[in-house]
Amino acid sequence: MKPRKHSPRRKRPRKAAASETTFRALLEAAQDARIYAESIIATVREPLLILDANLRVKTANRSFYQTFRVSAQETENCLLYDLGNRQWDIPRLRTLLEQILLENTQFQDFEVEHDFPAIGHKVMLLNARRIYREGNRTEMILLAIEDLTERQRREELDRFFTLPFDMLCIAGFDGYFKRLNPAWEKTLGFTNQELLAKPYLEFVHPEDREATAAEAQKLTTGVDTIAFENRYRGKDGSYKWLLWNATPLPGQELIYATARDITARKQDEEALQRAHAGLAASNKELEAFTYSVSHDLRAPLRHIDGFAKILAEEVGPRLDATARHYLQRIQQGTGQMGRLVDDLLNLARLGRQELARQTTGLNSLVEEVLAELKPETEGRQIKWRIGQLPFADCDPALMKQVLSNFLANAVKFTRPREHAVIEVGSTTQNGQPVVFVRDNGIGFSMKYVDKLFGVFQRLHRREDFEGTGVGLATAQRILHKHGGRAWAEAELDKGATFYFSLGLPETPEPDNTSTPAQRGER
Amino acid sequence: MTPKGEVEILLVEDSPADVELTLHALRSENIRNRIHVARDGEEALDFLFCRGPYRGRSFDRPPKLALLDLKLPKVDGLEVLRQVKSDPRTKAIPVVILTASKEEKDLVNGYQLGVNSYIQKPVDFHQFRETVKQLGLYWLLVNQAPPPNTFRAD
Repeated sequence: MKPRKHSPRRKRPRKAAASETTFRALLEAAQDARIYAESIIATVREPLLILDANLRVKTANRSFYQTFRVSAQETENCLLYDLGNRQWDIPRLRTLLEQILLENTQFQDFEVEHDFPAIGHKVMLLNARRIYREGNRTEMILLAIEDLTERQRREELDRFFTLPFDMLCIAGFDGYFKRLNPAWEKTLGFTNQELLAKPYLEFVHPEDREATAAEAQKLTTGVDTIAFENRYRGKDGSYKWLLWNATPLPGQELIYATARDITARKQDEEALQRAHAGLAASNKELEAFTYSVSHDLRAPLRHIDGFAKILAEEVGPRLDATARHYLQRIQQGTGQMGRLVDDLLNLARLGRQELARQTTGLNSLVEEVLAELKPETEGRQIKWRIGQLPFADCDPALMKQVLSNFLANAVKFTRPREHAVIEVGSTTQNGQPVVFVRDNGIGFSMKYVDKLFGVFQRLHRREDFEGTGVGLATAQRILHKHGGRAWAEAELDKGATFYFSLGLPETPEPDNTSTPAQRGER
Repeated sequence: MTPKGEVEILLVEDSPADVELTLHALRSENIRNRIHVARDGEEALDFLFCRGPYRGRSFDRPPKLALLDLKLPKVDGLEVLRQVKSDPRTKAIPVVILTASKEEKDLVNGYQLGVNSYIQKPVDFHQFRETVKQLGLYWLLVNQAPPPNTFRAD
């Protein structure tokens, strides 16, 4: 800024010599004051503007030019509002300068936020003072602009850092925490001072120290930590499970990390594991039970059957008809019970059997089942209508059991029909393939449909239709294991339709490289 | 041929009913007199290893077939099998597991221990009798028994 030259007028020429001395002294004093003021203005770190009464910039300090990235040339003698493409034409600033400053000689700490095209968003704290100059009866306005943007950003960061949710920390490569948010004290009970005083590894569970040190080592090489878990000791001696995410700042040898207290989740997991272990134990018990059923229940059955047969053979001819009938009943009973035990064992075995899924053509399974049903279908008039069935991602041996159940049922319950019709086909429901087996047999009343798939549930008298009442329950269990289900519709004396879905979208037909067994045979 | 009174089949079976049914099934095959019954695993081992009450027996005259139940008092069938198959003096004796169990793990264990055959006792007596008959026929008549020097420890 150029010192302005005031040419002092000589008011009293008569006392020129004396006045000259006084005047010079005054002038020097004034100039001293001016230099003093100007150097203050120049050195103040806050941007300062000096405006005239018309809000024209008389001068500005270096901080102003630096902060707002403008030069002295484009600033001085400009109207404030015209500065830098009118970017200072801020409504709130206008109000402050044109109204408030008229009524008062100063205003203090007015916060103004503004987006400057060149330098972006700024938060400014404004202080202004009107200076009245007696000499030429003009006014000057001193406008101090404090740039709060950085400070506010820092405060925002601090507020974020002290949010009560996760634990945030900055740790050094030297193994000490550098800064911790209040969540730490809340979680562990130690004050931040206590936590900062010792290497953080001392708070880590002894069993987790090695892994934690290794993880910290990885961070020093620039690798992020994602979902690392360890235990931290609390003031009360208990341990908290923490889930860590961290990223290093190798240049500053710092680690920025967040930790979440997952103790409750861990406890839930442990409870779940215990429940699993219990379940596994009872499964084992069940397995042992199944085993003993298979061994112990069969033995007496074989004995009854064996001795009944020996009796029938060796003394049968000497027995009367009634006695022979009783012997026959004994053998029928053991036969029935043998099948029941076998079916039950099969059902029980399903529970612990792993599915061996592979892409399977259901048509080829149907062919296999039909071949096995030959003894039952021989001599009967059955019209088979077998449509195109889908390929399914299933356990072929188990799926064959399902089809075998449905088809054998259809054969069995159409026995009274002179012309049996059994249809096997597929349709789509909710985007899933559904296979159905429809017959024109004796059907059943939908009243009892709920019982259909239950173990030991039978809807027909044993003397009319043989069976253990386990077959459909087994089929349903197999389908459930695959994620699917079976259901049925029927009308008494009209026939029944059994449906099943595997709960999967349609499996594409395998290409030519597949084995013939997997391909549909039809 | 086989000297008179020599044991041809060792039947290891704890259930008296099963013993009776098995003997009944074998009766028609005219080998009933040459069957020895061991009622538990320990007795079976004593018999096969010629010790205890059977110390008078000789390793040179092993049975032509051991029919072994799995679930036995004292020492179970798989343990009997393990000991028989891991001793050079006995390991050539054909052992057939005849059991009610068709548990996969029993099958796996049995074959891994070197059983010669595994048969599940059919519930139906006619089938059972047929199976036992065939067993007797096959192992005593069809099969060439191991020659005596097979049983020497070396």
